Parts: sequence; structure tokens; C-alpha cells
Amino acid sequence: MATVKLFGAFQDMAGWAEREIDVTTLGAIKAAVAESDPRLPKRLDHPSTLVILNAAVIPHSLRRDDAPVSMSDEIAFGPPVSGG
Amino acid sequence: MIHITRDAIDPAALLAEFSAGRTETGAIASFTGLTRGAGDGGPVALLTLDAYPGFTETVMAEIEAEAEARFEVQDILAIHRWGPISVGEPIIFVAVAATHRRAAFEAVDYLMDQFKTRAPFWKKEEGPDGVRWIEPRAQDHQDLARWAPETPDR
Repeated sequence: MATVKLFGAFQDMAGWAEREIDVTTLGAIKAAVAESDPRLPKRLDHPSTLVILNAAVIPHSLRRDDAPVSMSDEIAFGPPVSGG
Repeated sequence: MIHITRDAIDPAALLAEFSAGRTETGAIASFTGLTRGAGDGGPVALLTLDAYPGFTETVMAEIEAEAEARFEVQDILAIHRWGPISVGEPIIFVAVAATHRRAAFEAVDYLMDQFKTRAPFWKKEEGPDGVRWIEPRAQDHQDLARWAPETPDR
């Protein structure tokens, strides 16, 4: 089970912040998350969305749907950030 | 040093501690960001920042390292608050120590422009009109572009 975390507006859209999801690819994780709200599929695929695997950002060019995700991985999705 | 905290920030105490005992420093510049009562979308009663502990500090430390490489500075301190923050309270404190003032001013300016668009915090404003999530403004991206490397003429 990979740990999936959502941040910012994605959390409100989905109605949850953290879940264990039993899949093995990035595409399957996105599909599972997207089931929570019809606005999510487009947002999860957007270049400005942060996709963070084990505390490191996956660049947009490397976010292939067949990218493997293992059971011990933690993967997070968040909208563009705004500190300060 | 980079630090994120859910506790209140005391800029005066942080600046005093940061400044103490420096005999080789000629300049300290600091910045304190406060929570405003009026956001771009209307009045704000409460600001809540979500962070991703572990990842948020990692990205902020990368920005700190960039500033150290780019400017002649001796020391950097950046404390960012997260969680619920009332209007008028400090949200961020940044201080830079350097031999001369220009590097200190520029490093603080650089750090803030980078934090505004890159530090992983998700901001939610609550006011009489409801709840709004805040994303970087066009102005924030223009501020960031000030630091882009110049391309030489060919």
C-alpha cells in the first residue's frame, strides 16, 4: 500500500488528506485519487501541479502513468505553492 | 538555518539572538512578513497555512543554499510559520548577516522572492465570504524573474 497525501485545494476537493492505496503505478494512483472529485483528473495532470515522491519533486516530463510506485513509497499531490 | 513552526514568531527576539556576538559582521538585513486583513479576494479573518514537514524544509534549504552561493553572506536565518495564523501576526522572518550591506539586502530580497513562489506552503484565507485557497500571483512570478540569469547577446 503506497501512502498518498493531498495538499491545499486538492484536499478540499477530494474530502481527504491521506490514504493508503493499493496500486503499483503513478497512473493508477492518479486514477484512484481522481475518483474522489470530477475536478481532480485535470488538476492532477496539470504541469503546475506538484507531484512529490518520497519528498522529491517528480518533474512534469518524468510523470509517466506507467512510472512504478512501490508499497513503501509516499506520494503527494499539491497545487502551486505560495509561501512567505 | 531554516525552520518551520506552528508557534508564534517573535521577530525582535529572533533578530536580537541572530545579531548577538558577531564581531566579523558589518550588516544584518531582516524581513518580517505579516498576515494582512485584506487579501486579493476580500477581507480575511484567519489565514491557515498547510505545510509538508520534511519536504517543505528541504525545498527551503535548497533556496537558502542558492542564496549562499549567489551572495557574499555569512549567515542566513529563515523561520516560516504554518497552521492557523491570525491577522497582524508574523508569518515569516528572514535575517541575513554579511560583511557589507548590499549583499545582506539583496540576499533577503532574493530569499523572499523565491519563498513566495517555491516554498511548499498552501495558503487558505477565511473571511466573511467563505474560504479561498491562494496560489501565487502574477506579480510573484514577475518578482522571481528579476533573478533569472541574463542571456548574453549573440
